[in-house]
Amino acid sequence: MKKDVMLFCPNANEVEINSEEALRYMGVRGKNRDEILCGELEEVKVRVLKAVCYRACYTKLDVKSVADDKIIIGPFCVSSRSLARNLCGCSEAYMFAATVGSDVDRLIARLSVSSAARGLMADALCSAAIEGFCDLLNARLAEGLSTRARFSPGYGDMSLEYQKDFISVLDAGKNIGLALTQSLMLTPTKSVTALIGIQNEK
Amino acid sequence: MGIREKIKEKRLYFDGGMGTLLIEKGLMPGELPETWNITRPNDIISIHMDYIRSGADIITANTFGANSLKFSDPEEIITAAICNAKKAVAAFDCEKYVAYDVGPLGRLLKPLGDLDFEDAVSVFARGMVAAQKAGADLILIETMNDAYETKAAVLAAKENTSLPVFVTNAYDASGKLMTGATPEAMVALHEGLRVDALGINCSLGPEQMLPVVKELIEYSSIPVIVNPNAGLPKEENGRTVYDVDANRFSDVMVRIADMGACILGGCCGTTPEYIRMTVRKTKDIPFRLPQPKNDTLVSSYTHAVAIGQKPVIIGERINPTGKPKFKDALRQNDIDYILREGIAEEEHGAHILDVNVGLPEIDEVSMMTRVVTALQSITSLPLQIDTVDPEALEKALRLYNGKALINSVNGKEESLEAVLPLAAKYGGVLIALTLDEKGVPETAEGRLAIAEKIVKRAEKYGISKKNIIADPLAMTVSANPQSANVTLEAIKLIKSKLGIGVSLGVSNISFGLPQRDFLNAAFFTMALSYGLDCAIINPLSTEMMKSYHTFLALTAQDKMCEEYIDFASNVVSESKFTKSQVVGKNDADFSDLTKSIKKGLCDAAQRDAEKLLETLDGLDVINGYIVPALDEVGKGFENKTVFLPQLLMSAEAAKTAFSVIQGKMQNRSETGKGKIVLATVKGDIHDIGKNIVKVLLENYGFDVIDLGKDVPPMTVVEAVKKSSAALVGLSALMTTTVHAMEETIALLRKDCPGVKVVVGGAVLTQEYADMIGADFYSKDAMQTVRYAEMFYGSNKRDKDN
Repeated sequence: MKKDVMLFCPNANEVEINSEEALRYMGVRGKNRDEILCGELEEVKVRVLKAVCYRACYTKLDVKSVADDKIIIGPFCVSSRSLARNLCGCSEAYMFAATVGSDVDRLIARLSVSSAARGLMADALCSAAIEGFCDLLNARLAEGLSTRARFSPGYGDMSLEYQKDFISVLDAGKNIGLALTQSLMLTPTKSVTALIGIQNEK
Repeated sequence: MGIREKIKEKRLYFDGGMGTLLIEKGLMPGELPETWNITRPNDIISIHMDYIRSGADIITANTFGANSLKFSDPEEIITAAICNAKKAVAAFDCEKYVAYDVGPLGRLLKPLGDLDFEDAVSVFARGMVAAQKAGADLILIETMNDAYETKAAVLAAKENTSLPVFVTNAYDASGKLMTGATPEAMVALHEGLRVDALGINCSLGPEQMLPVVKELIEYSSIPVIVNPNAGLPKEENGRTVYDVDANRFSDVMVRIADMGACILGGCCGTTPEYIRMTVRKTKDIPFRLPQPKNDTLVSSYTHAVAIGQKPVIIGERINPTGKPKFKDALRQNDIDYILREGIAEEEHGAHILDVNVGLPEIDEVSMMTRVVTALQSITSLPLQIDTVDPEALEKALRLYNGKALINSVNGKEESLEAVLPLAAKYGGVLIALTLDEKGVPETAEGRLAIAEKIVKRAEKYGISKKNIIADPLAMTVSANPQSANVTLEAIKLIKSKLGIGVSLGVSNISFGLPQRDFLNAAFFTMALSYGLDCAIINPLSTEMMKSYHTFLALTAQDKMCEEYIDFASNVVSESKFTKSQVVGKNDADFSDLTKSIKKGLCDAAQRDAEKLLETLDGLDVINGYIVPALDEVGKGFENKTVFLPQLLMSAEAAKTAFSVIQGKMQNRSETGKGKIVLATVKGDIHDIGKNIVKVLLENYGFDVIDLGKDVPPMTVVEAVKKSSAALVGLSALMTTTVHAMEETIALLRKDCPGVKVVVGGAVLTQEYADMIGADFYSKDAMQTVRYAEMFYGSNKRDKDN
């Protein structure tokens, strides 16, 4: 049975962009923060906040374990030991695709032209933005449920090829403007697809 | 009667959704609906017949995703689909039309994605040719949520078939396409490309569509199509149902018909019942064609700019004339330099960017293509294509994601014949220079006459006068004291007699005179008060922007003087800022260049370098201050006390100091330490890491030939051969693109033996690097610098020995 795909498109101010997380993505370690760096990061963040456009779509799918390295998720079958382990004990899972939109890709390119440092900061902040967005969506979906950690194609031994199934099951092109390149990258680049296993009630 | 005529006579109806009905008939999840054209034709024909019975005039063939990216033999499916639709129509004795249905390809076009524009055109063309051959009556391009892909599809239809073209886009709840275009921008694009009808479908229910429908009708001069979803999907007893029923749907369609939409139908979730009720309730509403609109619109992939209302500023800085640095950038393929000019213009208030990259010694066609493409990936301002080369013009107009300004056509036969057909095919607003074979007329009347001639000739190509802007040519007052008067008179005359917009390249007025900004600014104000609609100026000139903002404030075109206040306070704060900095500098706190670079302060580094150059030679500043600072930061990075963003900020501060020194040392340009070709490999569109490596290498004195992202192996080989670089750096982010890296290395080994390859990127490891035959694996940007230093250092020693 084909199930509904629902949309979730929060406003920019509903999603937290964690600057600490962005610093971590850029490899900044330790507690002492360089004031100049942090000041510049906050300036870039203002631009990022104007460029983000949060869009996600999701659906709930039946999950059926076939073997310890094979699992049926809705209409398609995945060969992956890691995913089978992740979803063990789940008979349903949420599948979602989320993006912060194509404007941020343009912003990163634009800032990189005049300053590689600012380009790097925008890139890291946008990564933090998509993470924050996924966390928000995850929290909403998991409300009142016992759920597993998010699992995306490319994790463990799950092939990136499955991105195609995610895109088609979610109709993510139409719903949120998500597409795959021939090398199986998601475009816009700051996008995520994932499964969230729903643990069976005991 | 053909459908082109029919849509001018009466309201027509599209059919409704197909997907939901196919699921009811047993289409399995994951099964491609288009295959049913062949496997279950009778089910498809029966759905078409139900729609015809419900009153639909246009039957959409079941071909939404039937393209060569999804099917190995799309022609077979398309032919069967059109044939099914025609069979359904043949069963009735009335005039119905069969539409070949074209949906998005499911890939994002470059530069945001990896699908080439021309490849997209070819994929669309293949299906369209088959559809015409199979007997389709029209092409319906629908559910497109990206302006660029829409343009590729429309061009494919126009170039390969003679069929009428209808286009509907999918707008979201914010009233824009997924990639940002407003309805106004889409109207400009579609009318420029001369589609037969345009509109909206999918994504939204009829009520949510109302604001977009209103805008489309407000701007469009051609019939508007409205095909909404049956609201939003929800789940009920395990089935997908839509939340707007046929009754409510058709009630809203009545409002939409009243607003002036000419063609109505449905999309996802709608059934023959929805169409039947819509037809019944709207068929007696009087039909009216849209009023022709007279707005002069240019557009980008996000928005339209109207010319003829508030004066428009066209930035003139992307132009090599009289700019040695810009010329150098063109010769050296330094696209980033050009992009920075564009960004600066936008930040200073330009509404449109003029793009002129003509230089006798470069290939203008390819440079124009690259610059237009690159600009569109970093700015959303509309572009003005400025070239005298018809081939460069055509290529740019083709690849431009919107409706461009065309600079220019003039009264010469040769120009009219070259430019008008291109404007007719691709759309665009023409800047018409009032000169012809006899030169520039000395009188305003003479210039009006040429403008009239151009307007008449353009009409023959179907180009309406709203898409022509006259440029009555500003000529320097140093040669003829009357020239400003004549130009101003011509502005008035052309506007009153011909009723078209007027533009000027303002700065020409002062050619050959000192302090040109003084004259330019005064003339600009005068021209504005004569009714100038747009001006090609330097938006970085404070004098010019002063004229502009004061004029707007004084002529009630700046609500509450908000823009003026904003502008004025920025000008003031800029001068205050400089002052306080100067004071700080004199205050014993004489910061030194080394410190500024280590902290990553560009402005301070610039001032410090300038100060040092008052007493020291450039080379002393480099060796005594910049190099030690960079070394310290580089070592800090390696010892993990300095992190990547700080390393880059320091690199940029150093770069600023370098450029100050270079300015002083002109003609003493040092030869670099060595050449390095950099590329992100084919299939990979992430280039942030590669850009970081580039900045650092440049900082350390290497000449970097940056090939960008998604670079085919052959391009790398060609660049190595052309530059005779001995070192190549390749970057890949994904496991899926490491293979492309391997191919690139293999081709380099074959065609450029001896060249060394350093690789890096998120997924790479020493193991991977060894496996694909790289010479060096670099775990971060600094390691690449060290490798390059070692490589060229030892190379040099070898030569010296």
